[in-house]
Amino acid sequence: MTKSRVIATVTLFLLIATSAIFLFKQPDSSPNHEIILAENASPLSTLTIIAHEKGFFKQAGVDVKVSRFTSGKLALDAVLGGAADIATVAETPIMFAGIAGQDFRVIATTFLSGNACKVVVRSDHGIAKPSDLKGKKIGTFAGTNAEFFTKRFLESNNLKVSDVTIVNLTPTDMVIALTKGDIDAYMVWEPFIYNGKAALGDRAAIFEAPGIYTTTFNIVAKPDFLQAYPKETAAFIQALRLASRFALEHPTDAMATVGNYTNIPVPTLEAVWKDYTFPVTLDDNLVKFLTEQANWAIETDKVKPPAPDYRKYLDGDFVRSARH
Amino acid sequence: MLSLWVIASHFADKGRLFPTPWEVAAALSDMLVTGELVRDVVASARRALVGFVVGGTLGILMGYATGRNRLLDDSFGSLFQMLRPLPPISLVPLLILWLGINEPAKYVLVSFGVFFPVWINTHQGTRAVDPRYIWMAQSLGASRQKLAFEVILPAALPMIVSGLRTSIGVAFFCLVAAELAGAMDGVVFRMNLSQLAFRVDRLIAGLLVLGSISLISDTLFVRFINVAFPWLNGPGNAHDAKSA
Repeated sequence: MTKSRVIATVTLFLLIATSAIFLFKQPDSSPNHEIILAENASPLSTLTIIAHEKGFFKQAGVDVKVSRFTSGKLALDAVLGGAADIATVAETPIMFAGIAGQDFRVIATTFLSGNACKVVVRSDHGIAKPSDLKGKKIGTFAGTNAEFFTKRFLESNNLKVSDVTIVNLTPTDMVIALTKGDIDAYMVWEPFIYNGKAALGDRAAIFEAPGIYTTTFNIVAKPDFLQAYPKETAAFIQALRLASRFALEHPTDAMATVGNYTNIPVPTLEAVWKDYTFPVTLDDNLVKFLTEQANWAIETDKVKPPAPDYRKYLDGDFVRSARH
Repeated sequence: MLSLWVIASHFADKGRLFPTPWEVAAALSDMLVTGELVRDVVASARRALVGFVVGGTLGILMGYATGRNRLLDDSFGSLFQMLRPLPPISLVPLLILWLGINEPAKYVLVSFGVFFPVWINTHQGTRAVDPRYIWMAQSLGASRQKLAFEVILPAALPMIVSGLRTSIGVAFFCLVAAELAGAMDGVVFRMNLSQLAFRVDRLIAGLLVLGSISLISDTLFVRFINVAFPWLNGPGNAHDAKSA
């Protein structure tokens, strides 16, 4: 074996060993543990944003260090990989993580909306009602809840996915593609609904379908973290309850805080705020949503069956204790 | 290496973030049986090939032009140097705006990445040609065309080949950006879906496939060069697979 091969093998071994150590990293058990929050910096994380921006974490007696992520999936990856303690994430990545057999617990739902996803259409492309979408090109973000909503929306209007041409696009690119006329419609969440309408004005229309799909945003941690830091986790949830009350009692201030933190203009938030609720809850509805999405993921060959029993991933103790 | 992989995945198995080689092999086999793998490889290879041919051709033409003509070098050289470090992914929104979301936009993105290594190597290669060769050819009455095809380009060929070979890897690297928007097939598109679905086995399978087609392309390129330009097959030349 040449010298360079020995060096390459040793380097590779060290890399793999480091990765294995990283994967096995146990939470330290020092007192006053600072919680590392992997947060998707979007209005869906309103409660954690208000909690750290308005000082509710400090008020509840917990130190929180925020790490910002561009998606809930990446925030969840950070927790599963051991780089963060708690993540804010929508139900779709949770559903996939459950099917993949990952080890985690959902400890609270902090965002609910039955009207968070909408359809933006080019009204000048002959689309006046949902059934006009037949034969059109529709942008959606494959593998996310936008794709799930797309299926639900089409079915609720007696259309099949095969009746349209699906184009996979990131939300930012959807707005550009619709403006340019490369697609006839897209189905996604805010602020891209507002951005599309703002870019196209009268040439765009928005179709809403309240109730066909409920978007949730949730608080997720690993079981070993919850076991090691029950007091800190309880204080974290308590801070979210304070933030929830603040969002309800001071919506203008809450919108300004979230707008400032996420760089989303306040008028955009004002347009959608009525559709959003920010509870601190955890119930069987989440299990129902996760199971429905798991069935969709299996039907569309994204994952292999079976869907797990999602009840085993829910831990309602912290929400219950925060109520008392 | 396989042993280290097995050991690492065994210890990390609890989190299912580090699949074993057999799990990755099973994922590959599954993708092959469903026909998904062939469809994706064909789509990605087509994008890489078209981008490589277009970007490579333009790179050689512009490299020759800027290498031979001071005015063109002054006009385009700085611009190309400015554009060269831009990551292709940063161009995706602009390309959608200008070219839309169909295949041509993907070809342009790959061509963009391929262009620069070929351009700079051709430029340098053309510049480095011994002026005495050019004077001799000119004194013998060689036309511009003859000068280009029988003196300058053959002399710059080792550098051009080196640039083209570097660009093979770049073409596959650019697929990450090209298959981000508007793609419904392709190896990188499938890897993105696998990432969303926590299918680490399929993610690693995709990486292996991408690496393999890049390696096969490189091997084919080296063989082609050895056949087409056998005189370049000397020790230390850039296209020598072993030395690279």
